[in-house]
Amino acid sequence: MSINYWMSRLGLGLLLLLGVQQSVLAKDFIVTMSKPNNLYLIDADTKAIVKECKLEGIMNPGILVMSPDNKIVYILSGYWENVYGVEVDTCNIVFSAIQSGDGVRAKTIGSLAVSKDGKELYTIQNRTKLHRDHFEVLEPQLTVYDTAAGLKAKPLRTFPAPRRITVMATGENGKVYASGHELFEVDPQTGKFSVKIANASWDRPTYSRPDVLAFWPIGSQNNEFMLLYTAMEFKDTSKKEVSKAVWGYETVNLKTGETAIDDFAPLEVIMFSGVRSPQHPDKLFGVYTQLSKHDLATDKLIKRVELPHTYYCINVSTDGKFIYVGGTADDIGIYDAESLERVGEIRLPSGGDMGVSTLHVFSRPS
Amino acid sequence: MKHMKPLNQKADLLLKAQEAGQVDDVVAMQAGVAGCTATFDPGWEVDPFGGVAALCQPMEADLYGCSDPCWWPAQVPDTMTSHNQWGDKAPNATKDWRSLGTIFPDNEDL
Repeated sequence: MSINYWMSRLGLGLLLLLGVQQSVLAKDFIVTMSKPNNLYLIDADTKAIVKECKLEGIMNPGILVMSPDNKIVYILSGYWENVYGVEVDTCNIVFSAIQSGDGVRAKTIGSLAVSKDGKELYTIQNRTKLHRDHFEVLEPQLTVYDTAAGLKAKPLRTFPAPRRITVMATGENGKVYASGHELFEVDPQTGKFSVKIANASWDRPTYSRPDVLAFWPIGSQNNEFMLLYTAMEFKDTSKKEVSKAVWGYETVNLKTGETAIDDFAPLEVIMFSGVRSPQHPDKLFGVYTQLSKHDLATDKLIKRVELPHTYYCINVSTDGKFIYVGGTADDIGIYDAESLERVGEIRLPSGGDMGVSTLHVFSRPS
Repeated sequence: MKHMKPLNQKADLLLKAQEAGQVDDVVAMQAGVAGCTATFDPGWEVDPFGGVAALCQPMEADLYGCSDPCWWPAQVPDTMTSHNQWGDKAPNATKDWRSLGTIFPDNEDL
């Protein structure tokens, strides 16, 4: 045995040890907000509230996106006008963007995303010029902020944007993906919008236009931008007689940029949001007043259970074993991803409703 | 209409206007911006299947999910722009709904 042999074995051992330590120390956390102005960092395993930030005046609507290192949460607030960046471990506000001003009111309808390197924040501003005696609707715009700009950040760049944009996500290729009447790919350097997945213009002659409720910027666990749609399928291209109503999903792989769109179930119940785990991307979980588990390979409903009440927002644990349902009221339900049995719940201390706030789940060292 | 009875002031006005041939003069929300106009979805009234079973359960839990983004056209005040503090005394809609107030147009709005 040469010394090189033992050195290589020692190096391999150290690497394995470090890897094991990393996996042992990494834990799942949940971040969400509830009324009146409470931000929560929750240990998903112990269900303990790790940090509660009482952010006076910062909640409505409480739609959240996380920085790539999961240390800063960006909160859409101020009645859909402002964005605040808050350190989830300290409650320190490290970023803010007050989007309205100079007689222009700017509303962002859930459209915020952070670049994969954490350096830029993107919003879509729906702007209205407030004249003394009338309102003037201005062109919406994509606005780019430097996340290091601190408080009251000013836009780095702005570009014209289509109307009706809601949630967005960012890809590892530097592109922004935005849900509107089409699913757009956006170059945040040039402001060019191009259709990534056709919705309003999809080539399905026997279908209605899809109806997409895109409100919850989730999907980070599977690194995808996935939206659910419903559509009517007609018997022929005359579209006079409905054949069936369907659920479908469309997704952008945020690592590769690859897309998929497909029907997977008849429209039997409402689902407000859906999620997949990286371990089982052929299984789709959707939530509303029921929690449903669908097999995308066979288009079969695997299981559906009734929930104690309606939940808007769904997410999945990093190991794919648990489904979290939240938003709407003041509790987060925990379900076994295999059996859909309710195995736990987390009551938010404020007792306030989460409303449309996002339920983020991520893994990081504790 | 002879088999229907008005249940609120607006419906009563509509009935009287119909009798006087002035239905076109009864215009909803003419006295001021009382609600949201982002959508004409019927809100609490019916679900996409034409019934009520698929509405949010309980319906109070759906309040902020719908009123915050101005989902309803008129059933609640416009908290997105005009009446931001409407729900401040009721952080939990299911428990606190009795604390929700009613918005009337100010004289200057008329």
